[in-house]
Amino acid sequence: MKSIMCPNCNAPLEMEDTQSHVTCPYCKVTSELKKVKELVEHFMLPVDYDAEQIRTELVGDILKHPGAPEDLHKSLKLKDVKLMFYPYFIVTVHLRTEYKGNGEYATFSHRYRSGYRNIDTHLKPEQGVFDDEREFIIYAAKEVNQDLINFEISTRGKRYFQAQEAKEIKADVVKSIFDLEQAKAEATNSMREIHKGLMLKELAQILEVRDKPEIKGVYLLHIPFYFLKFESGNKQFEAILDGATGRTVITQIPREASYWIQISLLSVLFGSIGLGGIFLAVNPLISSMDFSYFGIFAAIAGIIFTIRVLQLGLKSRFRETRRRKR
Amino acid sequence: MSQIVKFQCPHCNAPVDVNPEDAIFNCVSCGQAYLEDGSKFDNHYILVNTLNQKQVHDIVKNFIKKKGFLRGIRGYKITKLTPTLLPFWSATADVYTHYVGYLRYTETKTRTVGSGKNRRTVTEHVTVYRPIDEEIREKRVEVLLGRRGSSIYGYESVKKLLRTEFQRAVPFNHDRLMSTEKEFDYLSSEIALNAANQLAKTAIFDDHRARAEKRCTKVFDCATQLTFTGTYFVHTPVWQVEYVFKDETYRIAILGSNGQIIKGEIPVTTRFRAIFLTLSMLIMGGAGVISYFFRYEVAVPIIAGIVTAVIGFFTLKNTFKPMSVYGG
Repeated sequence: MKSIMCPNCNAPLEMEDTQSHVTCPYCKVTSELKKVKELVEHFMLPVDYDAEQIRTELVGDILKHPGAPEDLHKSLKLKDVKLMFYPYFIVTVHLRTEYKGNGEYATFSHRYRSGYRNIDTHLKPEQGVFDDEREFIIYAAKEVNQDLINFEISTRGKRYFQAQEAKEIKADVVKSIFDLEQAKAEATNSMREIHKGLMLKELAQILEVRDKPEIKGVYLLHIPFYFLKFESGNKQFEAILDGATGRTVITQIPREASYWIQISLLSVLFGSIGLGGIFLAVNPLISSMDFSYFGIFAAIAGIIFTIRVLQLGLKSRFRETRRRKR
Repeated sequence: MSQIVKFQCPHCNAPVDVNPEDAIFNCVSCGQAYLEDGSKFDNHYILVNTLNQKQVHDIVKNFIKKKGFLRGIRGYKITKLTPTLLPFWSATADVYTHYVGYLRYTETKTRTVGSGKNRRTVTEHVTVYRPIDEEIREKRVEVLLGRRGSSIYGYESVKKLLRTEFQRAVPFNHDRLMSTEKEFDYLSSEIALNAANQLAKTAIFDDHRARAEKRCTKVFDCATQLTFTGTYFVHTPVWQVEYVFKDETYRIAILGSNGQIIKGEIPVTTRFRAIFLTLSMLIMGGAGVISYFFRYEVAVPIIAGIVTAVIGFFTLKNTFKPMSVYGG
């Protein structure tokens, strides 16, 4: 934190070290701070959902699941609500990689129908260039939280980061573990990994690599997340929701007792079909009729059904959106 | 050490409200589009919205009626209608990819050996290598959203729809926009022309390499050449709809130029769950009866078991899932 004076009305303003713009709360004039070193563009998403609205979103998502208590809109009790801004760097990297090495090629022999029976691979010198641009989203908090790392973030509606605004709504701001240079280096490394993967597809041996990275754009974005602890039917649950869009990052799902009874009945039913099938397959003779093949049917169908019921029925977490893997 | 930033339209001098990361911005008064350095940008197009609120309501109604069949969805209510003009880049390019590699596969060969009593058929599996030297040539339209690090609901599938839909785009006209699309949320692009071309190039290269890898067991060489034939900035109308059914919120995104559903969520009701659970059990029972009657044929019970397991895999998924999602 550091303090400056508003250039327009001389009011004292507080700001984070990474903050590039500040809006004076008294005269509403936005000032841009030009520093000697390169500016980090630092944004935040506004908290569009208050705790009550977040509760409604959470309950709505939980109620979509079978077996959730139907009166949840009334019965869910929020025990603990914590609002925290988490840092993400969004970096666009351009990388030009020139490579030299030995690439594979093949000769074929012994013609057979539409192909050949034999293949011999050889190496020959090969060189080439990869030249492309990609965008990376880098999670920059110290605490490793897979759900926040994989969350498909939205950047819509971002505005310049204002330390005072976070302070007013009593939200903690998680510090970025990367500074600008480190964020750029992280993105450049990810880009080099991609190019290395491409090179290994073209070459069997890499002999010489020269690359030229160029950062095309970088900004830091703080996203507000609600960390909730809630109670339903005397049990404790936890959830994380995005305070800017109201989406559920992850939540545990409370279920009613009747749900567990249904799941147990279903798995016992399908399980006994499966086990009965295995028994028949092993001891196939009932009043001198052979049931071994029938047993195989029941074993396959029953076991798969049981596994599926348990797999789907015991799923206790829900994620609304996940980032697609590249 | 600090200064106050102020932007003015170079064309009509009106003050322009600019988010400094916008790569293209439009003057609110005269509508002229500019690049970040202040130069005019004329490849700005718009897909004309043809829907009004009532039509959107009808589309939602039909969608729920058609896709929500058997679910007993009555008394849903639309709570939010947000018409948005989303910024898309459409890069057109002539692309040529040449790749070399081989495909490995197995052929089955049967032959008869021996004679008289020892005569029998032998099955052999032969590994065969087929050299591959092919090319891909195409005129490609690559669509990308003009926002950085961003996801907008329904955006992945809108790209596919837009490849063909963009042919209907018309030059951007600010006066018309102000009169007919004034209720639209207007999003500007954060990606500049050059960056759009670069990102499109990367996406095309990745796609062509993936296609080459699909054709080959091993790709030795894959090289792509690309010439851009035009890059357009197209504002695209999308209606984002939220509706509530039994206190739970669901979303639908509709393409405003032709009323197509980009992505839509449909509630899964208790009735729907019951239908699919019953279906799972009926299939199990039916296949059981068949297996009982054909219990001496080895193939029938095994095939019945596998078919039941595969169908049950999906019917049970429908029983437990929180909602159905179409498109996206």
